[in-house]
Amino acid sequence: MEKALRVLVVDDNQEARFCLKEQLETNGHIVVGEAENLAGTLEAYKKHQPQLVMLDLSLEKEDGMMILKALRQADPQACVCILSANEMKKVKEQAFKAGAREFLVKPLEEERLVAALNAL
Amino acid sequence: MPALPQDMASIVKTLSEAASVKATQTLNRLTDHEWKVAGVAVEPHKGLGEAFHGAASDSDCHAVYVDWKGAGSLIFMSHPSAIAVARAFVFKSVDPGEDWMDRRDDLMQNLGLDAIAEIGNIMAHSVATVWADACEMAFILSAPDVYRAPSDELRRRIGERLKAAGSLSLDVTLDLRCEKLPAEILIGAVLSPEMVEKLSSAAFGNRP
Repeated sequence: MEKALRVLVVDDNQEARFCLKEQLETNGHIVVGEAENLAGTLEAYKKHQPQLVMLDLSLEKEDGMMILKALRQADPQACVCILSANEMKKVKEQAFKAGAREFLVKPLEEERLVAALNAL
Repeated sequence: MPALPQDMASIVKTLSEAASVKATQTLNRLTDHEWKVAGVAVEPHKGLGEAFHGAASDSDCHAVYVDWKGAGSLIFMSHPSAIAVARAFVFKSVDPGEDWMDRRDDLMQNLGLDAIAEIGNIMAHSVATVWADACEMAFILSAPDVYRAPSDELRRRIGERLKAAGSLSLDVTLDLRCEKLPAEILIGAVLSPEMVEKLSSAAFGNRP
């Protein structure tokens, strides 16, 4: 692993946050915060100043794409990696257009996560 | 309800077979075990009471329901299958301890419905992606709703949800099995006439 990243995890599914946090910490990264919605994400981003946000697009009460856009508006340098079960071509195009740095598909193999984070 | 032209149903069957292959690839990654397609069925919709009738009768089942404009999808597992799949999914990076076989129901109580919801969400998107990409569209799937009940009650409750979907045309059932776990997952979908037309038009190269 090249360097330890300070990561904010955004997902409204507790089990999904649990598994991702395990994968990140096993590989030496630091999960500085977790959030489930827009307000929580912006608050946690401002408080913890993470180097990376891992963002799920399919949230129950809010649109993950809206959270992506809000993050990029709050900080144009925000580094956001989408982690989503939705890998439709049109959705990926929209995410990259909205400023996502990377788009990873669930279920996420640890090797794929490590390679993607090393490339950031 | 008038019968669909045979070619439209055949096109949906072909796309559904492609979706079933993608679904097994997703399950292989999700559980680190090999899954196979046991069957793909596409039939005229038989009515709300018969929705997802491919699911076997069982007194304790788990189901995840998602929908999008023009379709509803149910990911269905018996309780033993749900335990096996959830364990394989969640415990990939965590050592469950030597007594994990005896803590069979602790898993469901502790991580329980969230794990099933996530599995259902991933599988529904896996299938919907094949259909969406064929149409060059993006389907926005609802957040997963998780149910645990006897199979007859599940069908009744899902039938109530489907009332809001309006007119329905085709029922699709993908039967996926893993010998090693062992486990079986049924992925069912009910499609509106508009969705069937989108899929069959896409296959003929006329994008909606």
